Amino acid sequence: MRELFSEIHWRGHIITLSQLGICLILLISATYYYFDAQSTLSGARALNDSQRFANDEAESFEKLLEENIDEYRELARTGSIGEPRRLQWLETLRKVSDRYHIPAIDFTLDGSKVVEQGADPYWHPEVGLMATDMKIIMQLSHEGDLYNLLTALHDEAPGLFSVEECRLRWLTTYSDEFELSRLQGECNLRWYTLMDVTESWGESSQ
Amino acid sequence: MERIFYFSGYRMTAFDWEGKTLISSRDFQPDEEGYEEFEYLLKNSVTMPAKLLVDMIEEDFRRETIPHVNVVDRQALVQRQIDRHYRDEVYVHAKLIGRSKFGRKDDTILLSALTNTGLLAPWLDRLSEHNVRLAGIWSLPILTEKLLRPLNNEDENTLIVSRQIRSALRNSYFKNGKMLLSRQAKFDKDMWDNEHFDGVISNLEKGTVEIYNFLINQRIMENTDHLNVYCILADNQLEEARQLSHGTNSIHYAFISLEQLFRQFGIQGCEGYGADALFAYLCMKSNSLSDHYALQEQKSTYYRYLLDKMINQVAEVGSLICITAAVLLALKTLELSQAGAAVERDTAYLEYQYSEKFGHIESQLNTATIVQDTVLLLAELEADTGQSPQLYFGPLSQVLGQERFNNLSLERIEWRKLSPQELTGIISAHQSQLTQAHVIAEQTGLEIEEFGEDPEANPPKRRATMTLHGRIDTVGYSYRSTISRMRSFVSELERLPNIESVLLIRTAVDVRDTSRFSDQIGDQNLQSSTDTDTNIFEILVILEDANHA
Repeated sequence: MRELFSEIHWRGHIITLSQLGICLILLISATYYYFDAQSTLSGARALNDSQRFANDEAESFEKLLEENIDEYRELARTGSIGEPRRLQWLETLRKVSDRYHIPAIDFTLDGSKVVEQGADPYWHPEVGLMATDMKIIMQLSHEGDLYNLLTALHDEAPGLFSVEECRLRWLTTYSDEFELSRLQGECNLRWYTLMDVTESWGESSQ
Repeated sequence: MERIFYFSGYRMTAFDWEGKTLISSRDFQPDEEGYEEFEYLLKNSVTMPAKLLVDMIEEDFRRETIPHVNVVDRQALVQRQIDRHYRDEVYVHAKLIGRSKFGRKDDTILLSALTNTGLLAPWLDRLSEHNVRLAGIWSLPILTEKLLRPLNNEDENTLIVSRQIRSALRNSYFKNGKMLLSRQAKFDKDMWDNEHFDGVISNLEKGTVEIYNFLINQRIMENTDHLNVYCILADNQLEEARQLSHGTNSIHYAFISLEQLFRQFGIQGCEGYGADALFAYLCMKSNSLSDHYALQEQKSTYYRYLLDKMINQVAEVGSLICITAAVLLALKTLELSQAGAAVERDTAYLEYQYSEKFGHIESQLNTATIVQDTVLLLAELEADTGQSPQLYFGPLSQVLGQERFNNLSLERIEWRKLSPQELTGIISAHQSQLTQAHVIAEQTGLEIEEFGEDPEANPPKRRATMTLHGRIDTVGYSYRSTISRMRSFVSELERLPNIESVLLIRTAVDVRDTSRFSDQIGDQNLQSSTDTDTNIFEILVILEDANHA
């Protein structure tokens, strides 16, 4: 059989073999273009799906924004969102103190810090949160002073604060320095301010 | 188109077939002129596959038995038999014709050989010289077996007689459909040019009787058996042959029309050619790859031709398949491209829609979830910061203002926001002697949020607590009434809104199992009196979770 194959006159088959070769090349080319077209179509479909998803998502985001933006702006106006309004807090404290004739107030306002992950229960991965600690030591005429002070701060100061710790102690000793004071109050407040994401919006888009 | 060379033992005839039609036939005598004509034919005719059919008087048949073994061993045994009987012969053939029913059930084989090919050799040489595509050499007697079915012959003993050449009759004997022997019976010399048909019939009968006797002697047939003789003759000789023949009890003659057989096989153009054409057709229809006598080198040209044909056909079929597949793929590609273009148009439209509707507010949209999260987070913060100590001053004053609690006075109020761990720790520290901390938590109904080990997790929400430090005036009160007063105070605190639990951590007149209690009875103060202040109390008020409250 091997001898038989060795005796084949391949020259006699040049035309048919060439024809086969050309057909094979055509087939390979057609296969290549077929898979290329299939890949292109898959890519186009993926792009289409992606764009369709983007459109749907944009619509849902627009709706989400419409639902929340008014409340958001109101919160920004009342000072819960935006830069910590430290000066206004202090001014409010002083104003309230004067209004209710609180004998003495000693306070310390710490620096505002961005809340780190794991440091506060209200840390959020997307929303920047700033915390500012304030310590107030007060000599009070009666327990209503503390009520008035905290209520007024809550109502009038721009922002939110949490009373972390507070001690109200009835004094048993008389002091010339604070002759009208019967109680001593000592409170640690934490002011919370959320960062304003609308700052990143362009002027034109506001 | 196919060519059959028929060698009658003397002259050569070439039959050219196109399907079932004999299109030409030429005779060549074994002389110089005949050889030249033969060479001319080979040189100038269209090259086509050819087969050689031989009907020679020098063809010998032998029956042998060999053990029934596997194919490989049988080939060796057959070769041994061939070497034994036809050691010097080139053209030999072996065929398995049956198996014995008795003894060890040996296989029966029919050996045959062309014992003298001197007359055939010049023709074979010329075929080889002109590279004729010779598929093989077939034996006419062996091919005669193919006539049994057309004759509807199911007899046990059959003798088929045919006349290919004027000078002889071919007698082939079949036992149960298998050929056992064949011979070419030459007429007497004076009969060769005799036109009288009765001489042929008398030779037929004479030869038949000889064969019959031989078969009886060889015990191939029994005395009681009868032999059916089928003689193939031209149509115009049938009636005369029937009249001239004399059958016996043992030998029955039947005369078969050659033309009838031509019609039965559906072959055309054979009128006047005799039985030669019939056998040439049977040879043409035989399997080209399974001949009887040809040597490998004699068939090499034909094999090359088959190989070339196969290469051509494979290439052409391959080309056809490739081009068909390519066209189908191209059509499919076109379809995919059109679908792709449609999808791209749709995508472009969606992009246009997006840019028109959302292009100018893209940065706002990107922060939509943050805006929502900010609002939600602030709602949580508002709930938490809404819990402030001053809110509880009023309710606390109302409780303390009740007349029954006149002997109670507050000295200190502490407000703290504690993590669940801290809260548990405080409770545990004060009541560890009573029971385990977690049991206390269960007893007090506290829902303490689990704080996992994950360092990246937010710490749990803190719980607001208020600790009341005070004093109870016990003068004039019995221990029992003091205890009762404290219990009432705690109960009143528990009923206040947004209070989850109230724990009496320290109390006046604490006679609980695990507490240490000391007091002084009598008017006189003792020097060694206890320094423990027995009138103070400490109450831990745990507020509800801000988000639940």
